[in-house]
Amino acid sequence: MMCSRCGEREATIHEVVIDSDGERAEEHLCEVCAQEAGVNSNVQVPIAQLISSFVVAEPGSEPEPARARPGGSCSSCGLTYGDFRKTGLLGCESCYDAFADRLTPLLQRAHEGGTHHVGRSPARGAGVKTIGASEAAARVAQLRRQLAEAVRNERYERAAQLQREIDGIETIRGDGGTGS
Amino acid sequence: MGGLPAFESDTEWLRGEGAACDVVMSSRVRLARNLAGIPFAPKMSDDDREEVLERSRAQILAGGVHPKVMWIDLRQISPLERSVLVERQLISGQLASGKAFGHSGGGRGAGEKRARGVAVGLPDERLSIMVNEEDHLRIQVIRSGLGLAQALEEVVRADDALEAGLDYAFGARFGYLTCCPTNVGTGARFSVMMHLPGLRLTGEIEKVKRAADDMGLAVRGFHGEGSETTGDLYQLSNQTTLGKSERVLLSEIEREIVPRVADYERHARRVLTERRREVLEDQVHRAIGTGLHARLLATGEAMAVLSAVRLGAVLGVVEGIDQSAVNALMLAVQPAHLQRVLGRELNQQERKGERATLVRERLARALGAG
Repeated sequence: MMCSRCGEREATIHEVVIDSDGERAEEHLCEVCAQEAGVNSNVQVPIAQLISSFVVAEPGSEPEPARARPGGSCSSCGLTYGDFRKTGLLGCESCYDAFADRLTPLLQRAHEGGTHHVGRSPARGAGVKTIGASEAAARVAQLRRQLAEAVRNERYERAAQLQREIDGIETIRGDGGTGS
Repeated sequence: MGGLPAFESDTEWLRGEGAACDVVMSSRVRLARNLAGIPFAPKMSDDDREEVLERSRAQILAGGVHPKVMWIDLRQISPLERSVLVERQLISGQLASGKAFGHSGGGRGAGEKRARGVAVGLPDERLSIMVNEEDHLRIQVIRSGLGLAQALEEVVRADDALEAGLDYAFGARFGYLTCCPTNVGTGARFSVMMHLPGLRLTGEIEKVKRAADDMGLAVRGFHGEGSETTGDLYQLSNQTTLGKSERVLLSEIEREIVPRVADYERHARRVLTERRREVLEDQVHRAIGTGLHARLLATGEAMAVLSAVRLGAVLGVVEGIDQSAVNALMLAVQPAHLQRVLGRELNQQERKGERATLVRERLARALGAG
């Protein structure tokens, strides 16, 4: 694909721009034009873009998701949900509590249904249980429902994956994650 | 070039050793960590960044993290030297430029002054710890070949040693709290860099990409997120970090997914050697022809040549190739390394000429014809 600015060189940088109206535009630039435009060729933004596109596209939140739900801001760092929607990045650890309601469905989608941490935890926070027994049981029940649905839809690869995840939770319960 | 010391060994990811190294170049595990009580990147003040840098540096150099560590303050080396670190996969392009994470303002060039650094484990460069990237800490271990389990073990050891003196942002429900919610939970990203020329030649690469997508994996180019594929190198990594333990993530990718993709690639290579030998030989010899005779080579072109030569060597189309020399060339042709090898800065056109000369000379030697 050729550069959409100069039309002379091969485009190596592909930018997806989502403006404040949620309009999506693509731009394909060569290294030279990208540099002129101030686009860093090494940037790793797509994840943030992914998130913001995906927050914008959240079904049911249209047509004016931001204004329709003025969510306040994080009392600790002052980040607003609108800021998060723009960048896909949170401002501090308290943002996870401040925006918990709105983050939960987003996290579920980004993490294949995952809503609770399973795995290692800091040794210094000894006593912090990464997943309580009831949470684990709830997660396993949820996974089993997804598994049944995957089998019904003949998505066997997904089913196998879900089964492994269930096995994983079941082995991990009790021993707290990767040993070191 | 001043600030950066000479590296003591070939970069780990190009050593071409380890399990499944016919297809798997390298394995990487990366943990995202933030210090408790300090805002994340978008809300950090300059003082916050200095504090994170200083506390992390002190803990890294306190011993226990790695026997021999090189600490680099990224503000004190040149952009070219930072690019060398990017090409060696020790830092991300974003950390190199200091480009803001969710910051507004500051103008162009503001990133240059942002406090940020990296610690590199020596002599093998397997461990690197980026400070003030998108997260306060990004701890990664790279191993040659398929070796995620060893990489995880090493990265966990470094993580424990860091945590002995640093309080991490962690919550019972969401686990390790990260700047971007796509990393929350374990904060662990498992990536495998695979060399898949066979699948490209048999036209099946798109199929594999789709399948990987279905399995919740990201397929990216050489330099990770947002980068183009070059030299038929693809990076496969998990996208899920919440709700699955490190061990489950590891086993999914290392035991289920990578071997399957590797088998597809080997099957494609068999098809090429058995049924489409002429096509294969043509591709490999054309690449050698280009490598031995071209006078101008762009990075991507040079990588395509080296990819085909590597395939030819693995499949015995050309005998007696010094494979490690071919692997080393994959790094030497990268823009910053090329300039480092030649000891001076070059513009793009000059680089093409010098790159072609380098490939000509070294490839001739690797083929035993020099």
